[in-house]
Amino acid sequence: MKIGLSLLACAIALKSFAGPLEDNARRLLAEYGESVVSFRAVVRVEAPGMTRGPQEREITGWGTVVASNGLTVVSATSLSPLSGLTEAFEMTGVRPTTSVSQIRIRQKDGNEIPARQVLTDDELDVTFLLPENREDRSISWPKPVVFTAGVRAQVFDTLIGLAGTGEMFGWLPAVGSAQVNGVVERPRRMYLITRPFSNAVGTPLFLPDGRPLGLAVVRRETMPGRTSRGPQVQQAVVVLPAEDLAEMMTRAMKAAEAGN
Amino acid sequence: MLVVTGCGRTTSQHADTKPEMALPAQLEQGAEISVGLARDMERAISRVYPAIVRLDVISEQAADGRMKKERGFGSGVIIRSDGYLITNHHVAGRARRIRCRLASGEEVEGRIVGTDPLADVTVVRLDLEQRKSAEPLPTAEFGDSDALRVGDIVLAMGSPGGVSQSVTRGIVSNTALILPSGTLTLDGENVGSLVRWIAHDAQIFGGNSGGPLVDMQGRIVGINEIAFAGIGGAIPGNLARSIAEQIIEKGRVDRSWIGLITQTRPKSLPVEKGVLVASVMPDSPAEEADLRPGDILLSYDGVEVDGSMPEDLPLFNVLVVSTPIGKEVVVKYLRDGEEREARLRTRRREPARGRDRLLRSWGVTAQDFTLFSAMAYLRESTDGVIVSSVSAGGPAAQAEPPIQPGDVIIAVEGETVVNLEALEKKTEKILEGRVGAHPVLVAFERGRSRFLSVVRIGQPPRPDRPERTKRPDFPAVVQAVPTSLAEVLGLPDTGGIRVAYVFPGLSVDQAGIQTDDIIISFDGVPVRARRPEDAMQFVRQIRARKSGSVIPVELLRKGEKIRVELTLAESMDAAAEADRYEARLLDFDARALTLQDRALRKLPDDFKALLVERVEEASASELAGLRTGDLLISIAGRPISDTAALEEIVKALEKERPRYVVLFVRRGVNTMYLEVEPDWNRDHTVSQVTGLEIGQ
Repeated sequence: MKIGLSLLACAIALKSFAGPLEDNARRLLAEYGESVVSFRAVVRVEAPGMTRGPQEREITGWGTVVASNGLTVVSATSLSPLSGLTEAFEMTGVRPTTSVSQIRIRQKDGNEIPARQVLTDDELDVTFLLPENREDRSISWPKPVVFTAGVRAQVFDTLIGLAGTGEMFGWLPAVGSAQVNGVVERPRRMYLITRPFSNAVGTPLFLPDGRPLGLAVVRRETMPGRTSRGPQVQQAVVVLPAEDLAEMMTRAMKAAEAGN
Repeated sequence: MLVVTGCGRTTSQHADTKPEMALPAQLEQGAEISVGLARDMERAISRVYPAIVRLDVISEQAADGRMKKERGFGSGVIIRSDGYLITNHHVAGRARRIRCRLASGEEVEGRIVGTDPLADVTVVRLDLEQRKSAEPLPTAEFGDSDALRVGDIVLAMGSPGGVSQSVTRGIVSNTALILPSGTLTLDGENVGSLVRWIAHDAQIFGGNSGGPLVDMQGRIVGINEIAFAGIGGAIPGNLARSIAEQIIEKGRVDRSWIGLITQTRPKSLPVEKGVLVASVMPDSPAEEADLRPGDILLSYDGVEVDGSMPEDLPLFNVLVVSTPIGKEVVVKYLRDGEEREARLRTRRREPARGRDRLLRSWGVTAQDFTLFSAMAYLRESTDGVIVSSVSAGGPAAQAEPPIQPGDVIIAVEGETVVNLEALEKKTEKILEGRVGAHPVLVAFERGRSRFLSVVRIGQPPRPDRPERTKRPDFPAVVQAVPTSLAEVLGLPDTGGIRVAYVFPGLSVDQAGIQTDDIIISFDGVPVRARRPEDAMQFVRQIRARKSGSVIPVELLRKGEKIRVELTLAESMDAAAEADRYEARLLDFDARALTLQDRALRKLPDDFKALLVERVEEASASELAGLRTGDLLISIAGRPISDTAALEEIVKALEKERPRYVVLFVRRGVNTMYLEVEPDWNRDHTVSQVTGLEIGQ
């Protein structure tokens, strides 16, 4: 029941903008700027033959709040750097394992909320994080970005992207524009874009009318080797369409409920 | 840099800068001498060779908030029939486990009796109860290293590269080799402040360290330690023997300290003799005796001293550190051209720095202050605990603000932390009866600043195990059909997907698709695959579909078109979800075999084994030869059918505690037996080793 209410609230909030791109970008920034949140976590990588043994390090990244309970979607690659590389490693005969712990989502006031992963999909490069103490009423989450099916873009469309500036500038929300360079249809739909921010994945991109088009994620492919060098990993930042995210979010909500 | 001033009872002699050249007498006596030389060499070798030992050492080193294990090899020589051997500190001084292979081929465990980083000497005692032979233990005797002369023939014995015991021959090149100050530092101790090496050209390599340098009478005159530019360097036998004797007697080396840093006299000083005082440490015996920088020391405890050249300084240092602790010593010195006299009382010399220990619930390694490390930190007391390394994911690193290497923990929950032991006790008290992490208020110093932080000590949170989306797979190996291949195979030039291998029992196999089939249409859409990436895209497309979908597939088989139906099924990569067991006691993880494992390795269905997924670095299992990817068939003769069986066997072994555990594994097409010597008492061993410290 709680999930249903959340989704309803999100749906009511959804509306289209009209007017010049600049105005719409400013409105989106005002409305959803804080919905782009940063997170940090500890990742541990272990593999046979690693000369210095298991390695741990802290990672940081960006995510987008997609439900009123703080459910946040991030790029799986930003959370687990070896995500999507299983094939490449298997071809080399090494199978590293990564584990992620101590995930914390940063709020506007600097408070950090512990979170856990509820669902991950290496193919789509998304992971959903659920705040641990989401029942705490003193924690208020920003307005969620609601991804729905049926939102599409064409080549050369202009997009509006949201991100944050990081610790150097006090985590200030920021907005940028991007352009659709290509639309990939196989094996699944995704958009190739000029990137509005140099390093942001896990952040939303909108059509100029304010509808969320999708999420910036990393697409990795292990290309078959043409030479004796063997397989090569290629990667690019793409926009994962809203319809995939909507489907995944439904699964994530179920996984979250099951986890409780 | 801490240059430790020292003592020495016999330092009236000068550095050997102009050594008396002693051509081996044999060279002057013609060819027949070579027979005598060979006889001498044979005799010398026969006296020492049986006593040399190859050491296979597992050491621990603090890094990234853990005590990381490392494996190394070195040499040693047995000096007493009751099992004492001498080696280098850098070989075995931080050992957690030492396996000793005697010249006879016998293997026994050794344990550290005491270690001395300042002279790079460690004494190990062999566990003679593990010997099967009733023969007396062979030993070697020390000779007089002071009697060595440049040109003397010497033999270097040991295990170069960790291989079998070997002997090389050379001559003494220098009897008082020095290195630039600080070139060789072990645990913060400047080895060159005490040691003047015997240089020789008997070839030595890594692994020779700790092995004996032997004269032609078959006596130990040095312990090999360093090698550079084709020259080997051995710690003089007399110094090594005196240290070994102290360690065997007391388990440690007692040394005196007076708090002076000395240097060679500048050439511009109009003085012919004496050691220049460069610095006087605060609150030291030297300061109390009013010695000052610029003073020229002429004698120490009745022994004339000199610092004309760098080779002289180790002699002075040895003189100081060898003085009995607490002895009142008369020092004569020059100040402003006037000869003066001072009396000072020596104190016990402390190590340069404390030994690292793991604070698991903090995610750090840490060490106590010693007098010297406190001085280096400009601290007035040795109170506090130095954090030497931090685990990035551990409680200390995740604290707000995080604790970093080099920080000094001075208080926990408002209570002063005097040393590591106090911090361990406080931690134990805080965590008693608690589960999970517990926040504690910590005060720490960084430079001149004092910070407050909250550290959640205790068991770190377990990693997330999120649900993973399962997608359909195409359990076969495929390749695109380029034009050239299509031509040769007589296929239409439309490309296609050739099936190179079908995993048995899975969806593709069940659909009736076979190796050599060419897929020309999938779900009614022609497959045009000419480049390798097209084959990859073909598989990717399947992953974008829904499990359970039934897809019509058109194939070419031996020139004929065939139509089959493929029911898409979820990924066959079950490795991530396979049952696994962490056999901590034997330091490896193993998991159940998947269908893919069986297919790739062509294993019959009734083949029972577990796949070894991880082997702890430098563990007993790795030493025995266990490797990731091995198939574990049995342990101690008991078959391993699944992870439950493995768990049961490991638990039984923990009770039985056999010295050897035999693993039967399959690697590739071969099977082999691996003999593991588990470290049943490892925690006990660690505390034994960490408790050993010189001069405390």
